[in-house]
Amino acid sequence: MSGNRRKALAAVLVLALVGWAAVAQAPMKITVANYQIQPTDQNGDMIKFFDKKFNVDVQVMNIDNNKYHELINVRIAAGEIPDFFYLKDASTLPIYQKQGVLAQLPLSMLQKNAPDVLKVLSDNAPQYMDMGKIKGVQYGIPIVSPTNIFHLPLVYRTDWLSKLGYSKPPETLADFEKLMYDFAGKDPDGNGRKDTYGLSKEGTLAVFGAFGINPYDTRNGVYWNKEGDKVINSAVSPTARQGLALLAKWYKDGVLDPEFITGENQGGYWALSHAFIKGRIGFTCLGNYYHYQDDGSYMTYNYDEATKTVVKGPSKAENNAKELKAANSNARLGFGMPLQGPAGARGMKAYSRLMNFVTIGKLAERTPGKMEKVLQIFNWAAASPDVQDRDTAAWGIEGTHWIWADRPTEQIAYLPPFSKENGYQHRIGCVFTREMPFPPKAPREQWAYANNLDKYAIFSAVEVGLPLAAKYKAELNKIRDEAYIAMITGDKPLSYFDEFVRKYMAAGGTECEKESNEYIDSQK
Amino acid sequence: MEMALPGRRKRRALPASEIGFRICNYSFMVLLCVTTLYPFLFLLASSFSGGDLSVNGFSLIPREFTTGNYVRILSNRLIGIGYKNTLFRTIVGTALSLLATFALAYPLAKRTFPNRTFWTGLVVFTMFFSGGMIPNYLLVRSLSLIDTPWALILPELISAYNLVIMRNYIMAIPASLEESARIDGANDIVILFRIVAPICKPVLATLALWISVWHWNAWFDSMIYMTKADGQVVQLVMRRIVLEGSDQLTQMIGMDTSQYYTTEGLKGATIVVATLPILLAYPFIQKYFVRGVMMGSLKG
Repeated sequence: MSGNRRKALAAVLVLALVGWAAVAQAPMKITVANYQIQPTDQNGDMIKFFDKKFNVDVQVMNIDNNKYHELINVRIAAGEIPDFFYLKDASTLPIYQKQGVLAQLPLSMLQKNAPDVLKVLSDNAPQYMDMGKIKGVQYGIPIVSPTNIFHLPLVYRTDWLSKLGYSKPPETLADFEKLMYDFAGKDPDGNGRKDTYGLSKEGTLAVFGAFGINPYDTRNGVYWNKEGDKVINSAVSPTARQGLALLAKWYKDGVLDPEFITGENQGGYWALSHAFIKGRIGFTCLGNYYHYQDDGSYMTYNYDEATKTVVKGPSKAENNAKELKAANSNARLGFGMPLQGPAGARGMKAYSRLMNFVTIGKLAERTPGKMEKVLQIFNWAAASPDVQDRDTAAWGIEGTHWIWADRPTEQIAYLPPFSKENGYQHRIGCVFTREMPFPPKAPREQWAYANNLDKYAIFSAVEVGLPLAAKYKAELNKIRDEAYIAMITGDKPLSYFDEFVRKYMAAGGTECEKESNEYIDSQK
Repeated sequence: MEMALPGRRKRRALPASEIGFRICNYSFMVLLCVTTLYPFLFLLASSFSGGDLSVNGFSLIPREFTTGNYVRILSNRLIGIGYKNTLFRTIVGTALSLLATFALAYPLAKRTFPNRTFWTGLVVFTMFFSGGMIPNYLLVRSLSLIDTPWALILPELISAYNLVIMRNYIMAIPASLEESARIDGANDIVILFRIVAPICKPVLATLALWISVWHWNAWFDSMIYMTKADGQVVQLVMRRIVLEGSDQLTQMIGMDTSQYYTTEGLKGATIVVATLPILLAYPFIQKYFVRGVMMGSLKG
């Protein structure tokens, strides 16, 4: 072999090695589909941040949130399964699992790559990790709301209370009934006309709560009530009948607003109770506690552009509180506790703590180390013990996008221009963040704790969305609503309840009940 | 002596029945106008309102008058990008659609065209059957059109319905017109553009209106085919702003919407900004509208 040929061969070998090394070191490509209210910029600051920090190549799929599952299904059918795959609707977990779209998440892999996720869930929401299992195999990491530990608010017109001689909101159903009759009959607004009612649609939740149930639906299906060893559907529970009997009487006596059928919200932002704002009713439960917080309920932090400092100031009145004041400057509102029922039950509906799932797409299995990588990134972004990491993952880079306002209560202030842009974090690429149930420390939530909103919350005995419940939910809810309205308005006598139960169970209620009980047994 | 002005005739007294009819007719028309105009006026009022107009009930007077909603909307980066994309697809898309529809309708209108029924049938077939969303996505993707403006223009380039209307219109043109042009030495292309096209102006204007309104309002294709923010159309941006916070489920999944939900005023301003251009263009093309549709119909 001549020297030249040997040199050429060596050169080729070197080139091949360099090429191979380049391929081997090319960052791993990770496709992401997550919740977003703004499309993500592929060149966003945080995309670059993740690329660099984890040596990956993050590719955002930009699935519009308003048609999330429709759009992601098209992409999946075309073979584009996201590696980091957020399921907006928790009840889709078994569906995607059945289609073979999801990768299995072995416990050992989770322990090694997502230990902080496991810890925060087991510390604050112990049973929820199991909800991501199907037939004993983990497919989804549950996303558990930190703030849904608070039940729906019981809001009173306190100026009406004092006018009628009450010093504080009622604690028992009996006292509540008396108050509602006074709201309707004793002219609390003092205009000399009989144009007020006690409560409307949302207020009925407090009444059913005094019987220990919420007969309406959850996000993921119908509401389940534990009775003894079994779970039964709250809508057909015998206790629901007692609530209906009371409401039918109140309807007849003009205490329950006849417009309860169409509801309290008349358009616009969903949590506004127009009946309450306009002084038609004196009690409501629509929305969340923070839709009723008044001026100065707690302190907030805002970045002041002129002085370039964080300014602490009293919070502003939110939605309902603001509109109520605008409509009537003398109006005051206050919160009460869930009502104690005649049989000793006491509770109030809370939104499901299980919100959705984060999963890993099946295609990630093909690249060695990819699933581990996705879990590591998610572990850092959503569950890092250091709140600085989590806020970086959720809101961007400290000093560029936000600064600390009050470290002990974990309050940050957004910097301009981002402070003026809704969902800027989605645009810059905070694509790996999700809520984890860390105990809420923010002033607004401290206010909720101080007002005991975490006491007596009613959750469904089955929070996870099951396939049959998802299938029959719409039909079952229709049967329930028709029957409830008929019985409350007196179109049908209360004895109709038994016939309603028969109809409900025949229309899929029996199958759902079986499914839920099997699920409960399988979780034991 | 009173001068009799030309063109001014003395009014005949109308019979009572005629007066009654006119009163009914006019009041009905005014009512109809009000019901059509009211939503627009309400939107306009709401777009200049600071608070939540839904609380105030229906009113045509803005509550807490402000132009802040417009300032916010027009400073939204995506609205500007969306406008550019929508204008492009509307102008280029309409022009190409018209050209392609016209070019296909002309041969299909010729009785001498071989297998004419078969080809027409093939086109009409697409009116009743379509591949569905997923095959369409696969097709657009395999043509490498994803994230290009052509993904919004090419898939709907020729609508079968428009084609049939255009074809029927052309079929009504007497053959002798083209024959005389041919005697004068014109070839097919010259005949198409110099003889047939000018006659087709009404139907072309009508189709242009339909296609451009369709392009202006379309958003779903942008949602599927445009995976980057820079490619999305204004209607999609508007939809996102209007729907933000309207979804109670968003609340239940733990997204706190109370701080950044879209107020009714902001929604109103967004809708006005996104619909006003097409509303303003409409009256000027509308005169061709009825004529074009009537002339193209019921011939075959």
